[in-house]
Amino acid sequence: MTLLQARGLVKRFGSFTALDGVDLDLQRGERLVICGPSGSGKSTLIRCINRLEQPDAGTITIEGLPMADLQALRRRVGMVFQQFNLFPNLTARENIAIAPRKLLGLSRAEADARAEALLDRVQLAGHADKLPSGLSGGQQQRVAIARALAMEPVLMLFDEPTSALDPEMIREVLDVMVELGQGGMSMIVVTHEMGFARRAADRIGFMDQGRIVAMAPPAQFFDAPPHPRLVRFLDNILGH
Amino acid sequence: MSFDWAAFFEYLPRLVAAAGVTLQISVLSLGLACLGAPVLALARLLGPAPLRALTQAFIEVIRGLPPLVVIAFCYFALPKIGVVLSGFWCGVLALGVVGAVYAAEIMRAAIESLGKGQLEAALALGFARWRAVLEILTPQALRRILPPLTNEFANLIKASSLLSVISVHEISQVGQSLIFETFVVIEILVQMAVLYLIIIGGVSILSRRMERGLAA
Repeated sequence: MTLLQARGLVKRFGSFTALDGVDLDLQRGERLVICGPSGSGKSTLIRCINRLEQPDAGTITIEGLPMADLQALRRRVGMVFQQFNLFPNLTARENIAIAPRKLLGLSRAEADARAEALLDRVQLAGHADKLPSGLSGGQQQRVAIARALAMEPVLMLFDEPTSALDPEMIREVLDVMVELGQGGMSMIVVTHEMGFARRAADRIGFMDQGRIVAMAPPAQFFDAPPHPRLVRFLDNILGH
Repeated sequence: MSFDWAAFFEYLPRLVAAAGVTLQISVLSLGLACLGAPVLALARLLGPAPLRALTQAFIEVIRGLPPLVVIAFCYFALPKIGVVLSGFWCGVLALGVVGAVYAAEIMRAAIESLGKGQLEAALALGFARWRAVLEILTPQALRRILPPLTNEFANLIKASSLLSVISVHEISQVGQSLIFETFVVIEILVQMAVLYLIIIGGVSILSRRMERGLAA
């Protein structure tokens, strides 16, 4: 069943065309990885999906609905940022509990219980009372994932979630994401982590100059790349 | 030159009474500033384009004028459009507006300095823009604005001395007329200074307490 359908997405920043007519379908429970050179429009694409950027043209439907109500849309779609963007004045627990409490009307006790359960799920039980400044980058990003999950989204978007992390912390974040995908969460992940893509993606899309130029399951994507530009990209990042 | 303690104590009650007026004007105008500043700051951050432009224009005009001009305007110009206020209430209004404008700019700058990431994180969770600003960004900005705000409020209290020009019986006006009346200069100036320091010191202590409260 189609969860997300995007048609003809165009986004321009001044004279620069970041998205040049993108079509995208995502099935429920599907894990899609988007990769591509920087400036190819990957981040813009997922930022258009939850309308942090307003596309100049095109349509997006989620579960068949156009989602004109921005807040309703964003409550259904979780987002994880490259820079974590945790609220620095709130503890890990409060970071996760604040949106369900203020937006879904949960009581403090209910929201806290939800937060504790999610911290447990991202392997951070026992860190609930720490401020973001007291957590490592990897731990902060896992709190950010829990914060997005607290709204019980139907789709999770990840915008280069490991690009700001030290190498030894990348694994712990990717493990949480793999587990999330195995649990049936629908995900779109913008990343350069090709190991993760091979391990966890159902399909991998390759973007270049504002278009998705190739889209294939991992085996085909890596072993028989369907586009010459992709062959060069893989050569560069995998160092073949 | 000797310090005349007899004169000091003779005129002290009149200056203490004047300090009461200064304190009342300060508290009332600070209150007005505290109410007005968030309204102005939020109008500039969140309002529709015409309201944003209007608010910005208002802020720029008031910030561009010496407080003395604003005070004179309230006292001499407002009656022409039918708004007649006593010197006391003119002072409260003028200082309150000046304070609100400066405090609004401090608040706006503090919220904008938090960066785009914080706003986007709140929006992505489903907060409407105004709720993101009020419920997520403002609590973070509060810690940053308290020190500059204290500064601004101390300036406001000092600016209440300007109300002597519209004959409000606050510390500076009463002190000056006592000096001209009695030619007792040093004793009265010392009293004026000490009374201002007590009032402004009180605000500083209060603000430091709040800062500690917010940090905890």
